Amino acid sequence: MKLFRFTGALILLAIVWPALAGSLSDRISGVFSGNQTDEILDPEQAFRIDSRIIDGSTLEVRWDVEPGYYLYRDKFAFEAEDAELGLGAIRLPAGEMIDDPLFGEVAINTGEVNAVIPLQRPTSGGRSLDLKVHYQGCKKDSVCYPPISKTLSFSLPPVTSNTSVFAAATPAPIAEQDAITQRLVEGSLLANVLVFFGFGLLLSLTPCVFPMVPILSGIIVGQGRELSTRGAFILSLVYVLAMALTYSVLGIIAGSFHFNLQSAAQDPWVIIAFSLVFVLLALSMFGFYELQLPSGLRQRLNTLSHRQESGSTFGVGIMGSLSAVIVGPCVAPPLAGALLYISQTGDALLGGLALFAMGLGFGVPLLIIGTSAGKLLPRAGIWMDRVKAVFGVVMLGVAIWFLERILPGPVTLMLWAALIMVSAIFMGALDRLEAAARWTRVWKGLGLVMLVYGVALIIGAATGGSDVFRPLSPQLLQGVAGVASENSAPEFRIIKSPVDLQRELQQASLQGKPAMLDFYAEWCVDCNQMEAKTFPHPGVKQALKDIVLLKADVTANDEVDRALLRQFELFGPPAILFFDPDARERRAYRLVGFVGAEDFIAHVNEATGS
Amino acid sequence: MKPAVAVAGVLSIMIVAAIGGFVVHQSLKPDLGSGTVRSNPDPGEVLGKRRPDFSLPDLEGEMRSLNEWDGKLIVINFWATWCPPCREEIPVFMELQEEFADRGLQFLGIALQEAEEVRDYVNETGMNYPVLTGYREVIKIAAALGNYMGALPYTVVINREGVIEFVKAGPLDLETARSTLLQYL
Repeated sequence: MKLFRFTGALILLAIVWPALAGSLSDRISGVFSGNQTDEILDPEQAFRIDSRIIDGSTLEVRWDVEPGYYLYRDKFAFEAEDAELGLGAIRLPAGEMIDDPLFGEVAINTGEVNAVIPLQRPTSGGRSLDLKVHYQGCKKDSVCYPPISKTLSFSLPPVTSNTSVFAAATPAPIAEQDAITQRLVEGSLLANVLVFFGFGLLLSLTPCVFPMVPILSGIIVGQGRELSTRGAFILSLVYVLAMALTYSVLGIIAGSFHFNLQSAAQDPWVIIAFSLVFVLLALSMFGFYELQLPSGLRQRLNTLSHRQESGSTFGVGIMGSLSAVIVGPCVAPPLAGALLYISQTGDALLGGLALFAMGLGFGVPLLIIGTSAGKLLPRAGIWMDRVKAVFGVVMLGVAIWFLERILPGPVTLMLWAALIMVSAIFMGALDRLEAAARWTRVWKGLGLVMLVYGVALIIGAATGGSDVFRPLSPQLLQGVAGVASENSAPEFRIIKSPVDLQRELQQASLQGKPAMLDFYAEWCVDCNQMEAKTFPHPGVKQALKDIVLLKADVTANDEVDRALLRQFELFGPPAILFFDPDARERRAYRLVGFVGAEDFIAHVNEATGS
Repeated sequence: MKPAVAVAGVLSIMIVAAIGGFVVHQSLKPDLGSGTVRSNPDPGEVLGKRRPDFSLPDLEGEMRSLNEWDGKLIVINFWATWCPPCREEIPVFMELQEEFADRGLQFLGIALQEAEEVRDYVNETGMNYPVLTGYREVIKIAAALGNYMGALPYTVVINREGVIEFVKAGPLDLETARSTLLQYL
């Protein structure tokens, strides 16, 4: 795995040198220089710590230990800062033994160190937990760091159900969209592999498979002698396996780089850039232009692959992996999505297996074609372009999904409506049926359904809705009047800067009252849900009666907003913070994500100690 | 293939690569946004500065002040028994202490540990220079001497005028240590 990681790093280094250069300079500035030369990382960088909630009663803390550094296995310690909550037996990797002249055999951990921590919880409801983590390590033959203690905060979801009370360790709050990703990420390995196999099968129905057919046929026909069906099958299998292996290398690379979409996607520019790329990729799927390697490079690869001795298993394997490179750009759009997903998981094993499965799926038709020695070539036709167009629509969907984080709800709803309706038109929803074939009718029917749904979305958007799955919520249909009269939300004082906050907290402190600070932004789905569903609830108003309510509107996400967020180590809304009457934050009670009225009332009562 | 198409293809790949680069850069940044990452000032900042004053308990629990060794070439070595590279260089320091004692060289070990944790080790190895101990205080002193992360071993050379001449994080071998010290003796 280390070797893969290293190769992966080399390849990525070549592509993304400028970015890495920036980060390297960051590192070097953190290094002791003076009158010495060897580089010593700050412990924060040498042992990068990360954590996540596996489920309501299991946490994972993970260290990414820089090569050349190690942590002492017996120095790990975990404490729950909560008397009611116990920790079960913690699973740590066995590590390796080193010989220490003073202490004898000592176990150390290197590379990725995952600690799985079972929780013993008295209640099943959602709650927050501060976990204190101790660890200690050294750089081999160089320096040792003093023991490090860190407190990680978690908002645990209820044990039984997986509702939308979703939150992870600070400082990375999870927006609702990311919660969906999270659930996907937590799907089982097998399910992932199967899905990717299906994904590959679907890809094989695109014209991308065509450049491979002549290469494979060439190998089999180029045998010169009569090849048995079995022989042809084996050659095709080798070819397909090599291709799939090439993809799996990509998957392993993507998996080794644990890229945190949640934190990256808090920056509007990253979101815009991402959605732009997906739009560009979608356009290529619609045939506006074609993504291909430059012809010179392509030809060279082609000649290279033809020069391989056909028939020899090794040569066929080489051709298989070269072919994967040749068709690479053609499958780039869906591949980009798949790799993004893999890098979310940060799991190299999953990445390798999933992409391998995808390659196999992609190779199934090649197996059939190869085995039949080219007799069973699929008939190229419009249907292939349709499959590509489906991918294009999915890509556009991904683009909108990204934009959802920064656009007001009704606008994204309009975008969804446009996407669905235009797709419907392309499916022939409004075409005239002229004694048409059965399939045309089915497509038209489906198209009409989508068209009508699109209309519903537009109505929803026009009345200020934002939920794609419930564009016309009863509240919207009733009109806004009824909502405004009785169920008005409690009054918040709007603050902007850290100074405002300081002043308001002092004020509250003088009155001996606790305070609650709500980070809000128009583009924050969870915040809007809280505003619409939780805050107007009469019980919530009652619970908040004696609390000073503050709200920071960070829609603009400007310098001042970010300073305020940084003060609390937050990336962005949603986040609700509680302060005791001495103006100190009760960090354990931080709420991240949507919470329904009843849970919220219970949480407020706990957080303010009443 | 039309050249325009090829250009479009290459451009798209470049865009993807650039964005990938940005993302990788973002993901490599440690502890985004928390604002708690200390930048480690160059130890060059403490070089040429006057040493701070401090006192710490020795193995017998008696407070010892750094002033006690004024006028000598002082080598302060931060260490701990749980730090293998530290233990490796201690014999080097013992040897140099012996060699240069009559030329006014004074080694001073500061352990990032409690006295009882180091006493046995000091006796067994027969360390021939004083050892002071402590925890929080020691981390503060190390920081004041340019070691902001408390990494061990850390060695500081203070000349006879009380000016910091040399700092080093990580172990020193006999050759380097001797030639360094000879410059200031």
